[in-house]
Amino acid sequence: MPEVNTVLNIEDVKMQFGGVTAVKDFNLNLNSGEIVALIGPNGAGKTTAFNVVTGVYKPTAGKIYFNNKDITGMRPDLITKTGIARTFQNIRLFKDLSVLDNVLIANHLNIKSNFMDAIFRLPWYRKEENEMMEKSLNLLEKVGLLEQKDDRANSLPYGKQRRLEIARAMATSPKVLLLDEPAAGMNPKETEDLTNFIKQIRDEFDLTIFMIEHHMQVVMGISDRIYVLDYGVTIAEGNPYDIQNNERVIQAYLGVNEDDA
Amino acid sequence: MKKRNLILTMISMLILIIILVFVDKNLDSYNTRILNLCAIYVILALSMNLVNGFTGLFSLGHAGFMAVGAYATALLTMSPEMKAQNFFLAPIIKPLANLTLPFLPALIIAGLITAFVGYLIASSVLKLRGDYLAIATLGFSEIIRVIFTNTQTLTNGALGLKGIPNTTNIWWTFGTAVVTVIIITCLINSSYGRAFKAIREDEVAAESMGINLFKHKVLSFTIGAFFAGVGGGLLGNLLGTIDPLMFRFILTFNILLIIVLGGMGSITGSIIAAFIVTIAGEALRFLDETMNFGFITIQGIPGLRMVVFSALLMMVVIFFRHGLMGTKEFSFDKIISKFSRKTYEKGGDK
Repeated sequence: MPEVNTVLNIEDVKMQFGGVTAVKDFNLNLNSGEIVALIGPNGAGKTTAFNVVTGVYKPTAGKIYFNNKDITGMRPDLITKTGIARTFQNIRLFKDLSVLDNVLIANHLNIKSNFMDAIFRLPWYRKEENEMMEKSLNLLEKVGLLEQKDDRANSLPYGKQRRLEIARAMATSPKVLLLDEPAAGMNPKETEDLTNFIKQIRDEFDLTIFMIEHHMQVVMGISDRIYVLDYGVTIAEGNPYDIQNNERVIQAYLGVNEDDA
Repeated sequence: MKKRNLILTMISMLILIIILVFVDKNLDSYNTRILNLCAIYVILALSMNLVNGFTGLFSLGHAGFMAVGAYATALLTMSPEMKAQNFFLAPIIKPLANLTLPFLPALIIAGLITAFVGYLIASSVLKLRGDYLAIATLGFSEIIRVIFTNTQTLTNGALGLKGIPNTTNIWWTFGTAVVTVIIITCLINSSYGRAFKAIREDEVAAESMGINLFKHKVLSFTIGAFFAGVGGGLLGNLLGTIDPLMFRFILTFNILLIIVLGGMGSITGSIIAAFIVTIAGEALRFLDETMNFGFITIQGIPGLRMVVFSALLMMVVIFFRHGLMGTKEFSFDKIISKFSRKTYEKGGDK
């Protein structure tokens, strides 16, 4: 029997902005190796949930555990260091820097040499720099961006910018990868490529993937489990088949039929 | 490739040394002083570019840091007799009265003291962003100046310091400038430099890539302050006289002009612009004097130079938003590839 190993555990998280409750009593657990999707209508609180997990917001109440370690309210950079990386809904690359630099920057968090070692190019710094370079080039090769490594990030076509953002997140050596609408604005071909790509990196890097997505084809195609949020409340949870047939989910997306109500 | 560039760099250095020997032997003191100022402004511009151009922190505290560096260097290098002459209102505090160090250690200590002041200021104001940071750093710069005006036993107050040994010469200024260029270039091209640029490009993304924003901002600010202090020290010992009024906002503005003109985020741009602005500042002196065109005589308007500079800055901001160089850098590879393409084209003409 395969051992079920919980990586990320969100317990009763609540996020309030003044009088508005964006997320209410949010519970979720991610098991190692899973692909879990978070769906819901616009304004349901999906990105807020992401921001709470990655430390951008401090939750009003509740706890978040990563590998049984409490990470609630930790600084974003420290959360990334513990092994949770993310991408953004509206791509946030380092636009004016090269593709390679974008990935190299994500390697910086593990650097041991201090800035003096770096300025004087001491041997241990040079070793680290070479390792970073090798790792980054490897990663770029895997995501198919090696040829464009010297291009400026915002000169890439849209689909490749998304890929680069994922590659950059991967460079922080995460155990959990959070993808915020990876398929947004993509054509059917790009969407299909992306679906395969997500599966491929999950297998190759032993990742657990948690993603927000509107594109149902992607969600139903690759998710092991799906959580549905509406007005900050989790209204359903289960495998793709259950979700598709769940009455409340259909209501949330399509509205309530006046006659039935 | 690498070896070729190294050789070319060596040759450039040699050419620079030859030029400096020539300058040292042949130029009069007025022109030598202008070149000294050019080199000092290279140091100051690079230190400000590190903070404003590479890390994207809008800091306007440079004059304050220069003041700290200049006073520290002056007090560490002046002879005890000179100090006694200067401090006639109130005697200088004890440990400094008889302390005289050679120039190099004095300069380094001055840099470290400035870096420490920069560190203290950075830790308190770097929670702020954008315009607020600019206002806060500007405020601190003025605070330093006001403090120096009032600490009679340490800085001789508003009287300033006179008779500072004129140790600064063309070798010191250009030597320090070259060392600064090398150190800043190495820093910018290292992993730390990339982190600085990431913060400039997008703070939220940088933080979620595991970069500790506060730590890196403070680091950049402190290193910037160190070189500002060294630059200030060189300036003080070049001029021989310093007083708190020298370190007003206009000094920060001059350096800001240089880095905006040269390109925020370009080391090459800062170097070129430092020379342009400093030399133009002297060459345009005729604007402040009475001008006689033969048919019409314009009375001297003091400050017209600064009007021209301000107009220049406006033009740069409107027409060359990224300055002369943008974020590009000089490299032998680019020049050679351009050159070889040209010869290739020439060959094609035949």
